Amino acid sequence: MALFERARRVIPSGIYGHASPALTVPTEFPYYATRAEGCRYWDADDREYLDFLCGYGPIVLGYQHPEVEEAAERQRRRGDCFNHPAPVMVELAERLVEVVDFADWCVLGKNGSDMTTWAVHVAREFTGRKKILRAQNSYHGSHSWCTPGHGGLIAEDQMHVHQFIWNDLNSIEALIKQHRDEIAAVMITPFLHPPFSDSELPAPGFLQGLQQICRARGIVLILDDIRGGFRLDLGGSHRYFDFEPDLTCFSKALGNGHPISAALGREELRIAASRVFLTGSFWFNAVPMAAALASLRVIERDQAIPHVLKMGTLLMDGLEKRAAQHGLQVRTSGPPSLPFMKFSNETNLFRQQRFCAETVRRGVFFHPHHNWFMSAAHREADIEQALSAADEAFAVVRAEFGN
Amino acid sequence: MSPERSYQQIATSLYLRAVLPAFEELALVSPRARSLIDGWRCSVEFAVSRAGGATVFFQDGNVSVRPERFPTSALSLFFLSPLQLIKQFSGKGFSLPLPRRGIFRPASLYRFQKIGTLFQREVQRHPRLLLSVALGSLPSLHAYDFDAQELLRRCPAGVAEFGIPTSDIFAWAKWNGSAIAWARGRAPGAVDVRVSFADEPTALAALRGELDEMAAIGAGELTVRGLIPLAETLGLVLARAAFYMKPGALPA
Repeated sequence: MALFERARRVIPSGIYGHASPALTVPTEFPYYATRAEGCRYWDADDREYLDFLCGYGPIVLGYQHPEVEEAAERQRRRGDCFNHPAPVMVELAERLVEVVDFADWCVLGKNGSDMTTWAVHVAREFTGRKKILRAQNSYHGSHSWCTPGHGGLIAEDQMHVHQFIWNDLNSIEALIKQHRDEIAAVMITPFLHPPFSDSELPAPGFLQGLQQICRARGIVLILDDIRGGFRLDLGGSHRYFDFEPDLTCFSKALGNGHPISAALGREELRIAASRVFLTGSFWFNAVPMAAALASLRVIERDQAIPHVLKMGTLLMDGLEKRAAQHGLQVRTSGPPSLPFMKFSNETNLFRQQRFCAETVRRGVFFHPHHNWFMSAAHREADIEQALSAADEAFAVVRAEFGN
Repeated sequence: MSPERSYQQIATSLYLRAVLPAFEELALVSPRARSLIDGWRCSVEFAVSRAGGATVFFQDGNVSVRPERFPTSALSLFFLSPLQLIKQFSGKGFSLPLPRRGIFRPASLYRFQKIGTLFQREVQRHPRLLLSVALGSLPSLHAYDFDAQELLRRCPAGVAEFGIPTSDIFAWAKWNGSAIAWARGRAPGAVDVRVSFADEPTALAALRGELDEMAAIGAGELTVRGLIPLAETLGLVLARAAFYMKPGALPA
C-alpha cells in the first residue's frame, strides 16, 4: 500500500486501465508484482501467488519461459530498435502466414488495439463503407471507436459503430437491413467474454452463419483473436470453432509476454492493407518478434494448447465439484483454456468477490470479474493446490452467505 | 427540442426535484438554519411558468418538500421562465423573485431568503446535503437527459446503497430496468452494491467531482462491493447532474 500511496501522488488513478485495483477486490488483492516464474508470481511484499490470470493473457507458456527468453536475449544482444526492420520480422510474418490457414499476408504491431483499429481501417478502405458492427458487451480495445470507457469521448467517435446481440443472427440481419450497403465490417471475438459476467460460447451455426452473411454482402469479417489466440488452436481460434474470417488479429499470447501484435488477412485485402498507414515508434523492435517466433515454436512442439485445454477442464470440473460439496451453486463458462466461474444464484457479485479474496489470501489468484487464463506451466499439482484453496474459500462463502 | 430548451427543462427539474428537497436536511447540518426553522410555520411555493413547481413546508422544526405546487401557500414565488429559476439557483446568492403571494409578509420572505442563502453555502460543505442532491437528481436525469437514458439502458437492475458509515449518513437508489427511485437512509431490503466513503472529506470530494476515484478505491478510502457495473453506471449518470448544475453551465 505504501507503493500505491507513492504512485497516486504522481500517477492518475495510482494504477490505471485493466490493472486498476478497482477492478479486483481492492485492499485484499495484490497491486504490484516484482518477479514471476512458471505459473507463479510474487508481489511487492514477496507473497507468492499461483496465478490464473497470466498477465491478463499473454503468458501462455509460463512466466520467463527459458527458450522464449533465450531467443529474446539473443536478439537483444544483436540489437532491438534499428532504423530498419530486422530479418526476424520477415521470418515471423512467414511463420504466421504459414500457421493461419486463410491468411496470405501479415503485419505486426504492439497491442491488440493497434490491430483491431487498423483492421477496421482496412475494411473501410476495402469496401468504401463506414459502419462497423460488433457484439454488445464485447471488448475490442481501448481506442475511441470501441473503448468501454467514457471520458474524453464525443458522440461522433462511435456513431458508425453498431452493436448486435451475441448469438443472434437476426439482430445482425436487422442492422444490415437498417444500414444497407453501409457496413464495412463485422468484428467478432471467438467467444463472448464480458467483464462481470459469464463467458458465452458461440451457439452452433452462429459463427458460420455470420460468415455466410458477410460473404453474401461483401462485408469484411474481422476476428478479434487477441484474447483467445494460441489458447484454442495454433492456427487461430476460427479453426477451433470451424469458421473462416477475412482478417484476424492476435496479440497477448503471441509473444508470451513480449509486446507484439499481428493482423493477418486474405489476398483480396492486400492492396487495401497496403494503403492504410500503420506504424509506431517501437513497432519494428526485433526482440518481441524473436520472442514470438520462439513462442510459436514451443507452443507447437510442446502441445501447449491441448495441455491448457486439459488443465482448464480439470480446474472447471474441480471447482464445480468442490462447490457442490459445500452446497453452493457455481457455473463455469468459456473454453477450458480461458475459464471463468461465477456463483449462479447471485445477480450481484458479493459471493464472487468474497470467494476470490479468500483464494488470494491463500495464495491462489482468481480474478473476480475477468475471465481467467491457463498456461502450459500449470500442472495437475497446481490445479490441486488451487482446488484446495477454493475448497476453503467456498467454506467461507457458505458460512457468510449461506448457499 | 432545441438544446437550450432541453437544457432548461433538465436543469429546472434538477433544481426543483433534487436541490430543493435537500432543504429537508439543512437543519441537520446547520445550527443557524435550525434556529431559523424552529418554531416557524410557513409554506413556500415555487411556481415556474409552464414547468410545474414544488412547495417547501416549514412546521414544528421540520422541513418537507412536496413535488407539487400549493397555490394556497403563505408565500408564492413565481418564476416567469425556467431560465429565471435556473439563474436563481445557479447564482452566487439566493435572491428571491418578486412574490406572487406574501408580499405583505416581509418577515417571512426575509427569513426564507436567509435560509436559502444558508442552504447555498452549506450544500457545498456537507456531504449529507450533496448526497441527497446527487441521488435526488437520478429521476430527473432518467426522465429528460438522453445520455443518462443511454447509460441506464445498459445498466443492470439493482439497489445501490451509498454511505459514510462513520457519520451514519446513507442514501440508496433502486433501478429496476425502467424506473429509478431513491431515498435517504439505509436501504430497506437487499442491497446489490454498497458504495462506502471512509469519511466525510472523501465523500465531499467525490460528490463535488474532485476525487480521483480509482486512486481512492485503491487506497481503501472509497469501497465498492457487489454489483460494480450498477455503481459505475449510476456514478456516470450522476456526473451528468454536475454538467447541468455546475456554475457557468448555463448556455449563453
